[in-house]
This record gives sequence, structure tokens and C-alpha cells, in this order.
Amino acid sequence: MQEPTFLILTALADSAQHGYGIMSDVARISGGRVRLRAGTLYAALDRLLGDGTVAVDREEIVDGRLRRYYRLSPAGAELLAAEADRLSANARIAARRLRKLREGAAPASGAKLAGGAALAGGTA
Amino acid sequence: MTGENALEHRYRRLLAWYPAAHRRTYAEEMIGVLMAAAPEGSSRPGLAGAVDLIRGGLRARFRSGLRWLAGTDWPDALAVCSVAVPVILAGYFTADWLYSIGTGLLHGYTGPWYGQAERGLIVLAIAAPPLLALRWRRTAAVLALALAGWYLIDVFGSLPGYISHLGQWTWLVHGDGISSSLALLLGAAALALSPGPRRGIEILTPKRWLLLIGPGAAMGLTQSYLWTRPLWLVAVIVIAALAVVAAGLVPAR
Repeated sequence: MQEPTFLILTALADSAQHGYGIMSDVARISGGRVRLRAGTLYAALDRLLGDGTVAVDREEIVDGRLRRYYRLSPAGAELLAAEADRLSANARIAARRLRKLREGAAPASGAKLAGGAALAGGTA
Repeated sequence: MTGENALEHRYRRLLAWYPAAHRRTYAEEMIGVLMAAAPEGSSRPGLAGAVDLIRGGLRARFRSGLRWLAGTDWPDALAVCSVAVPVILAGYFTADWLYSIGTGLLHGYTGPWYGQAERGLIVLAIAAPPLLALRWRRTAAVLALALAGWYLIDVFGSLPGYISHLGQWTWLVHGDGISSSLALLLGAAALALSPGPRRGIEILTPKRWLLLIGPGAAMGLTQSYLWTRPLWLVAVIVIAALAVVAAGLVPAR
């Protein structure tokens, strides 16, 4: 699943939202890093509606303009949960390995320095 | 036009990149989102926004094309093709043949007998495989393929001689030979890969029969007036292909 799709589904997991609401929420969730544009958003929504991941919740007319609200379908909620599990499992493994790398890096670099000093002493 | 109206007008023009079905569903909603997201006072879409809409439109067109391809009943389309290609070609050549006999009789000279016989044989060669396929489809497909191959070899075999005589006009003189052989190959492939012309005949309505025979016959009757005869035959093939697509992709009656 691509990140924009994940973020759209995450936005809809909170409540049914209209297009502009999704765009604003995605920017908020990603800390401003991902800013969806209308073309990208509606390409994703059309695809997600087509495969039944999201559904139209209701329509409203506000200031003479159509607002359509989208919600996460049960199938979409399952898909998002599976993706969230996968990402957090990957993140846990990455964090554990990084911790090991940092713990192992300190003594190893110390040993290398000691060896270098001994070699320098031997030649002197 | 005020700045806001101008901006909306420009966004609507950009939405023309999307297929009509997509616009019917999303255009008004997208306009609302685009206007809400536009910076205050702007009268033109930003470059990045415009590129995003064009890219989205092209993607939507590509996806709708894929859906159309996936939703097509290709065996049925090919079954129609196995009938349509020979019908259009036979319509064209029969009209051409009858026209030459008619004008010959009017002027008191019909040309050598073998010239007329050759035209008749062409019609027979086009009509034979689909007729045979009503009973023996695979044998008919092999025969159609052999005929197309023989015709192709004949056309390309005589091409070097024509090139030395006619130079750049060769394509014009031999355009009919090349397009006819391609049409014969298409017909042969349709016979081999489809459920056969019997299914094609089931699908075709009387109106669609007219659609198939009409253009071929009309061009066969009028092509003698034009020096660029091969271009006419190329046009027949193009129309044939369009008719096949149109007739083959709509649901059976």
C-alpha cells in the first residue's frame, strides 16, 4: 500500500470526511510532510471506491458546492488494520536492530582504537 | 470575469483531461475542493496543481481504458470479426466487380474474360473460409491463413519490380494489396481464435449487417472515379475495423 493511500484510509478511520477534509487531515497526520493535491486524492478515492475499500457516506450542498463524504468500509478497516500491523512489525524490527547496532558500535570502535595504539607502540 | 470565476473556469478546463464518466461523478466535488484549497485571491491554478490534475486525468483515462478492455467479451468480438471482415471485403469487391461489368456493358466492352473471372475469384476466396467455417472452423482457419499468406507473398514479391518503376508511389499502388492481405490475416486469426462465424451471425442484428456491408459496397461503387484507389481500400479496412469494434463490443441481442 502506498503512503498516500494509507494516510487517506487513516484519515477516514477517524470519521467520514469530504475531499477537502481528507486533504487537511492527511497533512495533519503526516506532520505536513504529505500534502495531497486534488488530482492525486480523487485518483485514489476512485480506485478505493472501485475496490470497495471506502464508500460514499452522504452528500451535502454547502455554499452552492457539492460535498461528498466518504467513510471507511468494513473491508477497508480490515485492510488498514493489516497494513498498520505490518508497518508496526517492520518498525519494531528496525528499531531493535538499530538499538543493537548502536550498542555494538561503541565497544567495537573502542577495541579498534586500542588495537591501533598497540600497533603504533610496537613499531616505535 | 472576477478572479474567483476565472480560477473556477480554468480549473474546469483542466478537468477536461478526465474522461467524461469521471467528470460526471467527481467534477463538481473536485471544483469545490480545488477552490477551497486555492490561495486567497488567486485567479490561476498553480503549476504543480495543474500538472497534478493533468496527470490524474491521464491516469483516469488509462484506467477506464483498462476497464473497457477487461470488460470486453473478446471471443464474441472476434466471432463478429470473423464474419465482418470477409463481409466488408466481399461487399467492396462485389460492388467493384458489378460496377466494372455494368460500365463495360454500357460501353460495349467488358475486357478480357479472365479479368472478370479474376475479380469473381477474389470474392469467392474472401467468402469461402467463413462459409467453410460454419462446418469446419479449424480447416477454414488454416485455409484463410494460407490464402492471406499467399496473397502477402504475391504482393511483397512483386514489390521490388514496382519500386524500380514507380519509386515513391509504390505504397499508393500497392496500398490495396498490403491492406487486403492484412485484412485477410485478421479474418484468419479471428476464425482461429473465436467460437466462429456462427456465433458472429447470432450477435449481428440487421442494422449491424447494414453497417458492415454499406461502407464496403459504397466504396466499391465509387472508387473507380478516384485515382487514389488504394487509399479507398485502406479506408474500407479502417471502417471495417471500427465496425468490428462497434459491433463486437456491444452485448448480443
